Amino acid sequence: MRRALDGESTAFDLLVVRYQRRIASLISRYRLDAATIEDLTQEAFIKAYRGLAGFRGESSFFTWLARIALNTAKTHLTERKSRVETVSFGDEDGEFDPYAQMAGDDSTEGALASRQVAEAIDAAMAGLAPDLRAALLMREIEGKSYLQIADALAVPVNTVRSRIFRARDAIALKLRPLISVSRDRRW
Amino acid sequence: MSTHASSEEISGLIDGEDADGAIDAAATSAALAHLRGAADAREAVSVYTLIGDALRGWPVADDGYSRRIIAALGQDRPDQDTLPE
Repeated sequence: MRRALDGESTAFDLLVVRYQRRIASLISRYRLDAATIEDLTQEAFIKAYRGLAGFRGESSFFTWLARIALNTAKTHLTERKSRVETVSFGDEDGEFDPYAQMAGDDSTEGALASRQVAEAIDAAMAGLAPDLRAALLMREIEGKSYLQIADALAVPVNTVRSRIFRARDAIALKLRPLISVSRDRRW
Repeated sequence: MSTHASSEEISGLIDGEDADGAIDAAATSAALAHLRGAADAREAVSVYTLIGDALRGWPVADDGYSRRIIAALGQDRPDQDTLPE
């Protein structure tokens, strides 16, 4: 984050890769088509990049970015004079399906691919050594820092870093046949 | 994936652990430089972030958003370092 604030473009690109799915998913709550979700996601990141100097660190970067994204979506809907229909998780009559929302018009194929990847990750997680699985879950699900994980597991920080990496790499190996990121889709 | 050491540093970078001292400043610079030059390192970032998003229940379809967003950002920074094709 600090590197991005210092104007290092690769560091900001890393933030794009890290958060783009979450931002797109947030925007998708407004029941927009897939192309519009992508356009607004892109617009939000461009606004964030241009406004980086205004990020004062009073909230997390993701919170700041999410606020920009939601305001971008609301502005878009206002300009289109569309009815703003927000969707919140868990309090609607129907179950909100972020997979279908993200996939837009190609929901069937896109949602299926997304679910297959998620299922493959679950299976790979189950096959991990317990110490690797615990470290990755504490990081990804509980949002703990490496230092907090090190304290919880009573191991050095470098061991935590190594375990998380080894867990990711083991899962990535299992995923490779499914996702095979092609050259034209890499960042 | 890329070399073991580089991928481990990149894994830490994804978690923002450079700031907490799990990766030192020199290693952070090296990892960012590696990202600029190595397609396999960028693939590692894509896959590692996808794994995290999937574990949190976010949609994970390969949508190519990142590439297009970063390309659009490039118009804002013509003098900055850019990722190779």
